[in-house]
Amino acid sequence: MARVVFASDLQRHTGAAEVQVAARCYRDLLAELCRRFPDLDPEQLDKMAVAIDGVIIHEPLLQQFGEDSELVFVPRIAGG
Amino acid sequence: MSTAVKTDFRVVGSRPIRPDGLDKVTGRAKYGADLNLPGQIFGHVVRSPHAAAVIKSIDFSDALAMPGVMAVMSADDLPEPGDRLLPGAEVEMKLKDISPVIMARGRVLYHSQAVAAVAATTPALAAEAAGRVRIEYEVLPHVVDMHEALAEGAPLVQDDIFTQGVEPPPTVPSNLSLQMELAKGDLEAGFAEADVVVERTYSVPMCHQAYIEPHACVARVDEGGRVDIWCCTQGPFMVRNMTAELIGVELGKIKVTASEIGGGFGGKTTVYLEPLAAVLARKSGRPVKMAMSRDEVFRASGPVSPAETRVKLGVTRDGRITALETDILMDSGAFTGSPLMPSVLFGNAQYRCDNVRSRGREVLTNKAKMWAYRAPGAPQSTVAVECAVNEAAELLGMDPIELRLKNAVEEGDVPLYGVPFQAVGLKECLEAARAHPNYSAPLGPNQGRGVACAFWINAGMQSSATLHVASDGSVNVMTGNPDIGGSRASMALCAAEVLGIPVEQVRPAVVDTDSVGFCDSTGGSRTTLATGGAVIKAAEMLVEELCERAAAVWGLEPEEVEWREGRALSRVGFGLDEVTEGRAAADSEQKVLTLAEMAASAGMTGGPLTASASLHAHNAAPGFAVNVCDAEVDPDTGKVTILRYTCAQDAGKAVHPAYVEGQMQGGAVQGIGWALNEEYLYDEQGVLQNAGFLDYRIPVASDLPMIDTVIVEVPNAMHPFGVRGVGEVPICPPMPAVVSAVNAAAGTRVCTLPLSPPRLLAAIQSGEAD
Repeated sequence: MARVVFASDLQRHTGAAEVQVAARCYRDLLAELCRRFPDLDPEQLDKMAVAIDGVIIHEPLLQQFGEDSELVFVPRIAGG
Repeated sequence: MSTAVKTDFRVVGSRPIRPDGLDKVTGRAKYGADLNLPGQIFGHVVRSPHAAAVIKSIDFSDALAMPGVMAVMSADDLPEPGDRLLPGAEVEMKLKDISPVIMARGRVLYHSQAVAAVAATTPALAAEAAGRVRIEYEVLPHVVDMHEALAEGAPLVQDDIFTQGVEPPPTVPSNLSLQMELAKGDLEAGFAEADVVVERTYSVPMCHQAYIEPHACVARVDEGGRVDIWCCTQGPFMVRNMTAELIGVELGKIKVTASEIGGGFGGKTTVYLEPLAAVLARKSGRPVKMAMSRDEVFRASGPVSPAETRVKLGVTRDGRITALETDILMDSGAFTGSPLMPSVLFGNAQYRCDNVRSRGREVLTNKAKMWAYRAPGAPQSTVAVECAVNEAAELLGMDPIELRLKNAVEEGDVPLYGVPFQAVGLKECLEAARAHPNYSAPLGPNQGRGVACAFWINAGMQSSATLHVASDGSVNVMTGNPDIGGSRASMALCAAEVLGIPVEQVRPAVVDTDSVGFCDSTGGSRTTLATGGAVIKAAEMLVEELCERAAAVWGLEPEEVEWREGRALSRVGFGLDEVTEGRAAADSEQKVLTLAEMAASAGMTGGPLTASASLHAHNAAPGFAVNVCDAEVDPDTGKVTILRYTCAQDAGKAVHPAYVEGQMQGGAVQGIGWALNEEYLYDEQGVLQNAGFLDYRIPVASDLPMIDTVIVEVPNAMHPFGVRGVGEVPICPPMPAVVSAVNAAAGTRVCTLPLSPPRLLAAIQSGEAD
């Protein structure tokens, strides 16, 4: 099972710092998280980047990952 | 993700003369205001004289009656903006929060906000006509101070802003637009474990990116409605996208050509004049040039958020950081979209600490919409954390670099934003700073030393590149990223490295939005990494094709051909080692084709040699920097002299070291200015009082010593050349390094920046910290 780590701003919607998910792609991940945590706002998640095994992906729609992967939702930062 | 990282380079890491150097030093280079078109007229913006007001009416009749006035416009000429999201500097922003910055709609929210514009045959006539536009205002109460904006009964900057990030959502509007908190561990337990606790509040002033070239553009609209824009910008594709949305023209009908750019630093990652020039050009049927005065740049282009950061730091006697808390109040100007998030997340990312909490609040005031400045938001919180670390080192009697080495992050550590670090070079930078001769230089009376380190995340994003090989074997490299810090040279070096040719054989060009694939803006420390990555990828595609063509000519399989030193070599009869080492060259069995030979005969092997590549770079890696500042304070005047200044920074791999050093030096100088003198000063009417370089004091060469640099190279394992972004982190450590040095020299603890002579002198004379 892949591991999803939530920073404290998302923990107030999930009630957990991390969860295991069966999903293997970003689309399934979003669906699974929103099903398990109805308070999570899919639009909020969609505006975030996802770090998959330490690699930050700004637009992860088509991303896939392994069963041992670690995923972290992080803000999209562009810079100046 | 990891990739094979090249470590043995032919030309990457060398220092060729920049391809655009001659044009720039001779004055031939064309900047935003340098283009003139036949029939061109001139636009002028009418700006609000009030910090807050309702626009009751706009009467253009007197202006239009003037001979030579050819067009006028107001927000009525722009589409009604909605909630559609556009990319902003740090966060996506609603169109309705961007459109009023271009032109106010019904209400003005800050002094000098654009309200109308006119176009006339000369600049003087346009200015005179602007003065004859009659605008009736109903003046409203305003607020420009963050704390006053949060006070009960304060005027509401916008009456439909409800604080985001609080539960339950508020039902009454407020100037507190956003609140956030991120934490890990047990903060109270961390402070209980500490032997030394430092708690201070540092205040960083509102400043400006202070790029030398003001915003300028020329727009032309043809009979078919096609819009052609020439402008100084960090992102021509961004200008195309935003102009399309703001004026309601199909994106495909707009072409944007970026001029040379005289500095941006994040401040040119949005539009101000381009949509107005396009509308005036459409209405007048003439090309329209618009250029901001320096006064307008200060008053009406996005300045930099002031912030106040309370920091509380706990450290054990042996130098282990046990708890770190920051609480940031950040001014966003009249609209949301400040860089609060990076301020909350990144001011503490340089330290391994189990117990961290960082809070942020964004406040609206009647000031111009704040915009990005190198590493947006990070310097404002970093200054508090780093000054606290220096104060803890003093209390512990420990060397400040030693204290940092005990707590510096390394591979595997997890910052507050949650993504574990891969290999990073913070400790190497600290060691390099400690080993530099400046760090052991003796200090005299009234002199002090300050140290700081800092983090910035760096961006990747989208880039494209196209390579053409001319028939003489020279190579054109075309990208869509304006060259701000020497990126043409970096692009040329990347192409030359892969193609195995001299860098002088490569001609890099920044081309318009019709001539290359999409590129995100030059910013976010991304251009050498991402656009350079696209160049590398296109060059590799070209090499593959060259090998295929050579194989076809020789009747071999492509895998029997190797590309080395700008030549195709057959491997027939030889092992790869012999070929690559050149030992087989004299043998008649081996076949050789140079790039020039293949280019000259390209028509016989499939046509012109060209390759294009695009990518969305996911391989950005963070940057760390360490600064050491030695300062002397005149106790009679409060004047500060910077004696020595040292920067160490992890570049991953410096493609062109001189331009990496330039980024380090430029960031240091901007940070020195922000620490010592730069600040926006408003009067009681909400009017900026120092909108010019005489009164807004930036450092000049005679104010500074040589900024010494040490490039550290811990390769980014995700990039083929090991590159990290280098453009933003240099501005993160200077403020705390300077503030700590000055306070040490003066025997003060001034926490309100800038440490200008009057403020510092008052602190010296009172003998008190503020």
